[in-house]
Amino acid sequence: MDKGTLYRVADIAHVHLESREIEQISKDMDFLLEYFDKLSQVDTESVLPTVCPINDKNVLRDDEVWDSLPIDEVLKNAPDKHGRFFRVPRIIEE
Amino acid sequence: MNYETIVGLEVHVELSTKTKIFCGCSTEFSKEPNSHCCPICLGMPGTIPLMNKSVVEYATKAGLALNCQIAEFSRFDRKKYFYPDLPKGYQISQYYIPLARNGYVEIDSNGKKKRIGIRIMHMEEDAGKLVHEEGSSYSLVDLDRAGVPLIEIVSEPDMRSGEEAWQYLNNLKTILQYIEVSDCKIEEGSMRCDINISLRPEGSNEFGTKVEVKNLGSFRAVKRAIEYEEKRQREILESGGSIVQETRRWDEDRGITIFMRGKVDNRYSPEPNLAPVIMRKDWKDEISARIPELPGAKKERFIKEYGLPEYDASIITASKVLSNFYEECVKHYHDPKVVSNWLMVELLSILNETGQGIEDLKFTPKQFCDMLAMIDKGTISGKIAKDVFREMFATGKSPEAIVEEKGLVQISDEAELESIAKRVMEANPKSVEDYKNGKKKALGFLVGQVMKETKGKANPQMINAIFSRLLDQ
Repeated sequence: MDKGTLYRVADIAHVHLESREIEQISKDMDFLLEYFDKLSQVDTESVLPTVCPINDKNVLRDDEVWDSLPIDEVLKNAPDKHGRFFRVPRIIEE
Repeated sequence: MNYETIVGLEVHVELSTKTKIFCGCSTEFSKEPNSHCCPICLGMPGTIPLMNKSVVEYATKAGLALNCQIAEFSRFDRKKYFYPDLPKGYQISQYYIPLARNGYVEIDSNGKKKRIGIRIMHMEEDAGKLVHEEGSSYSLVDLDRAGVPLIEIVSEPDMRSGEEAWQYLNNLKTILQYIEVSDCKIEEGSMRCDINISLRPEGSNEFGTKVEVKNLGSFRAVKRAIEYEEKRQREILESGGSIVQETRRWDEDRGITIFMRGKVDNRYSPEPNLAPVIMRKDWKDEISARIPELPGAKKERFIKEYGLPEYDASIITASKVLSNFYEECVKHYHDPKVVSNWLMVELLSILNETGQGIEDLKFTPKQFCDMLAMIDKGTISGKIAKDVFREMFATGKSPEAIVEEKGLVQISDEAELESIAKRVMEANPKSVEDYKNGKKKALGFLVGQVMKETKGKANPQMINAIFSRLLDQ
C-alpha cells in the first residue's frame, strides 16, 4: 500500500502513525490485501452476504432496569474527568 | 423566475421504554450526570449489545400507526463517525434493512387532505450529551443518554412550505403521543428534527441541490428556518449562483442559518453482534391490536358523532387526554358544543396560564358537567360559572360546594331584583332619562350597576326583562 493511501486510512481511523511505523505497516497491509484479493476471486454470485456466522434470530431482552455502575467505576478508565463528567478537548462545531 | 420549495424532514423520537436499547440501564432523566451507565452503553471493548424487546414493539407500533409496511426481516448496522458523545466510535442503527418503509402522515393543505410520505422508519441508539462551558478549552461528556432508544422517521421530500412542515410535525407528534411510544417534547429533546430543503424552478421535475439544517429547538423554529432558507437559496439562484450541498445550523437568536460543515460520508457496515429482528405476522397483529383510535379517525368521528365544527374537533383531538376528558363530559351533558366551547376557551387558557397538563386536573368530567347543569338551571350565571370553574381548577372542590361556600347563587327572586332595579334607577336619574330619550345604551349601564351591587349574582335575563318593563312604562 502506498504511503499516501496509508496516511489517508490512518486519518479516517483517527490513528496516529509514527514515520518509522509506516514502512512496516505498509508491508503488512500489502500482505493483508493479498488475502482479500484471493477472497474476491471466489464466485459468490448466488451467496447471500453473511453478516453473522451464528444463525440466531430475535435475541431479545425484557425491558427491565438493572443496576448501573457507580460513578467511580464509570470514570475509572477515563484519561480526564471533571466532577461526574468525562472531560475532553473542546469540540467546536461552528 | 418562480421557485418551488421542496422540504423533507428527518425526525428523531426517543422511545419511552424503561431501559436503553442495548442494555438494562434506565432511560429516566437523571439529576446527576453519568448515573445510568454500564459497560455496554459506555462502549467498553468486549461488550455485546442486548436488544430490548419493548423497543422492537414500540417501533413496530409507531411504524404501523404511520401506515408503514413492516419488514419481516430487519437488522442493524454501524454508522461510523468520531465524536466524544459516541463512546464506541459508531452508532448502532438500521441502514441497509430498516424496520419500516413506505408510510404516510396526512396533513391539510389549503383545505385539502395531503399525504406526506414516509420513506423509512428505523430503530437506533441515541448519543450522549456534551456540555460546553463558556470560555473553557474543554467539553464535558454525560453518557446517560447514550443508548436511549430512538426511532428515526425519514419523510419523502413531499412538503412545499414551512406551514406544511409544521403541520406534518404536529400530526406526527400527536400520533406518537396517542400510541404512547414517546412524549415527543421537542423542547426537552425527546423529539428532534432536521430539515432537508432545496428549491427548483416551478414546473421542473428534478430536485435541486439540498441543504440540511440542524439545531431546531421548536416547531416554530422549523417553520422559520425553512422560510429563511427559501429566501437565502432563492437569492443565490437568482443572482446566478449555485447551492452547495452542506449542513447548516439554525441560530435561533439571530433567526438565520449558518454554515456548519460540508458533505460527510458516513461509513456503514453491518453490526455482527446483533441477531436480525424477525417480525412475524402473529407478533405484528398482536402489536397492531394495541393501537388505539388515531387522531385523524377520532377527529372525523367527533365531527360526525357530536356535530362539532372541524375546528373544535381538531383542537379537542390534538391531545389524547383532552379528547378522553371531552368524551367523558359528553356522557354527562347533553350539548357537545357547549362542552367543546368551555374546554377550548376556559380550560385551555387556564392550562396555558398555569403550565399544567390535563392529566393533573383536580376535578372530574362529572363535576364539570354538574357546573354546566347549574348554569342551565339558573343557579349560577354564565359569568359566575367562570369563577366557579377557576375555583374548581384550583381546589378540586365540587361546584355545589364552591357556590354554597362563596354565596354565588344567582339571584332569581323577582321581587328582590325589582327592588334593586328601582334603587339603581333612583340613584341614576340621568341614565333613566337618556334611555327614555332613545339612548338604548343606557340600559347596559343600569344592568351593570345592578351587577355591581349584587357582585354579579343577578340573573341577567331577569334583570333585563325587569328594566325593560320598568323603563318602557
